[in-house]
Amino acid sequence: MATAASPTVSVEEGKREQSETQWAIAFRRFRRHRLAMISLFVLVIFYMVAFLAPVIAPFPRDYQRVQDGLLTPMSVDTQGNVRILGSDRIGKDLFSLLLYAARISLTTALIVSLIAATVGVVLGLVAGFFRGWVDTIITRTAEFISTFPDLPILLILASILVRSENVPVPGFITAFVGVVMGISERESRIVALVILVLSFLSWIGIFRLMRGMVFQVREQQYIESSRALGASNLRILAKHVFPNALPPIIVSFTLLLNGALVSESALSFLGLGIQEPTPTWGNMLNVARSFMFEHPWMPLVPSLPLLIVAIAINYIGDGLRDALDPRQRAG
Amino acid sequence: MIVTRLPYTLTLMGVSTLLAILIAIPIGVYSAVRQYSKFDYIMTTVTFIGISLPGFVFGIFLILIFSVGAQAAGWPFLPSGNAQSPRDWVMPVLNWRIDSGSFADRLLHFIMPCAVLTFIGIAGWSRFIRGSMLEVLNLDYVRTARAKGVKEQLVILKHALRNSLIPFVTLLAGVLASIFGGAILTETVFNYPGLGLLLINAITRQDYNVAMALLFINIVLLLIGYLITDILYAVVDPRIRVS
Repeated sequence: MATAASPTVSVEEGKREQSETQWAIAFRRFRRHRLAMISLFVLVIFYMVAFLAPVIAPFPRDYQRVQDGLLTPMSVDTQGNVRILGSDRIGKDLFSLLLYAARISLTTALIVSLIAATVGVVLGLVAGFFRGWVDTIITRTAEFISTFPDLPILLILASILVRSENVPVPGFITAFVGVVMGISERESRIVALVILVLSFLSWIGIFRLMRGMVFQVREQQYIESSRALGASNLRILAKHVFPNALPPIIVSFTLLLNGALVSESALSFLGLGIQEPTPTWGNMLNVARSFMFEHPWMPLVPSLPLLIVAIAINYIGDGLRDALDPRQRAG
Repeated sequence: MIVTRLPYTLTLMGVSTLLAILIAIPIGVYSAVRQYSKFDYIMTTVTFIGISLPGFVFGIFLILIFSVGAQAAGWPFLPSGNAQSPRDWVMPVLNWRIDSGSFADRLLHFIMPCAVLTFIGIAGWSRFIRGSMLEVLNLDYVRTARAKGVKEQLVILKHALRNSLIPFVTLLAGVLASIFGGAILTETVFNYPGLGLLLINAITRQDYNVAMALLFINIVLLLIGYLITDILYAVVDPRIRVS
């Protein structure tokens, strides 16, 4: 589904492709996808801004002043400060809040996709390579989880876990989340739980993909020859099976990232995910919803960035698909 | 409780799915036949934004435009929530008197949630149909059909479309499940009293019995979806016989 013009490979280019590695070819193809390059640029900017939130934001995260509540964008508050995107009901600065929320939302999505991809890849490799009872157990578990409709089970699990005070979360996890997102230990407990639930439900796609790829690859002759040369299972998996399955995994990683971002926002929007005072785009939208009629700019503040990032991630995925699809190489 | 709300969700899902299919197929087919035309570019861009756009964000945009904006400007507006108004109201400019609970009242409340789900459906499916049409259009039997002088329209509708719908049908069941997921968010955004809103309320009140019952119903709906898909598959693809 190329949105840019279809790549036409000239003779010279064809010659050049022979001497290049696969990744160099893929990178060159990706660069040709203009929208994907712009999207990548936008996404990088968003992540940078999100991480620099404490530096850029004009107000501390929890700063509030009720007298300055519900200001319109670019208005001046009682203290003489400009509120770039206005303020919410209790006088929190929406621009600062948006930046801090970006940090939570974007890192949560990234961590969830990294965990889900790692789990999916490892389990897929193991199940596909060893087959037998190992494969049966993992595949059945994956099937069991995927019988439940995505969103309802996500909502129910999240609400049970996030609500209960006595779910133990190991200290090093909350500490890690706290450091990465710049939030207190108490807040990072809930964020860690949300990450846990989301990754628990999202590794299955990558697992299936990986398992299928292993089944395809392991019958190839070069696997047989490397075994004949005395390579260990681990070496075969790492050196031959994994690199072959990598391109489709990279593409589906972008889907995973988008899915994680939207799911987390949806959860927080419904009030079941990350709770205030930890800001995310989702719960900012939830708050803004009540003021929609009097202050219509408020819901736009978190939802436009969310939309832009979602579109950017999808375009990057589109560009990667075009770049990494080996069927196009002949064309 | 569930029975009184079931019709809302079922109509919402049914109407939006039907509308989405009816709109998505022509768009997908036309984009594929006129690949790289202006229409194709516009449609691929619009549907791309459509698949990226989370349903609840789209719902809020619609409310902002058609309820908040239109009401503020004094134009005819769409009600932003619930399935019917608590009291009779008058549509500005057009001067329609709309009775609470009348068909018109319910219809006006139905438009926006339905539009959200329909748009999401159109976005995903028209891309899918475009893709599979493009694949089929390059196959030999389509060329054969053209070569023996079959009218272009007939080639597209009968030879290409029918075959490109086969993979689409397998997609439907999974899509029904995701539509229910979308219905949860959409119903919440529009405060539309269907099963999705009931589920959210049950979960926020920690009423897990209701939540589990709804989950069960959802799974049953999913299974019915798979059954319909299997039957449709046999209808579309004559190579498969239901024994």
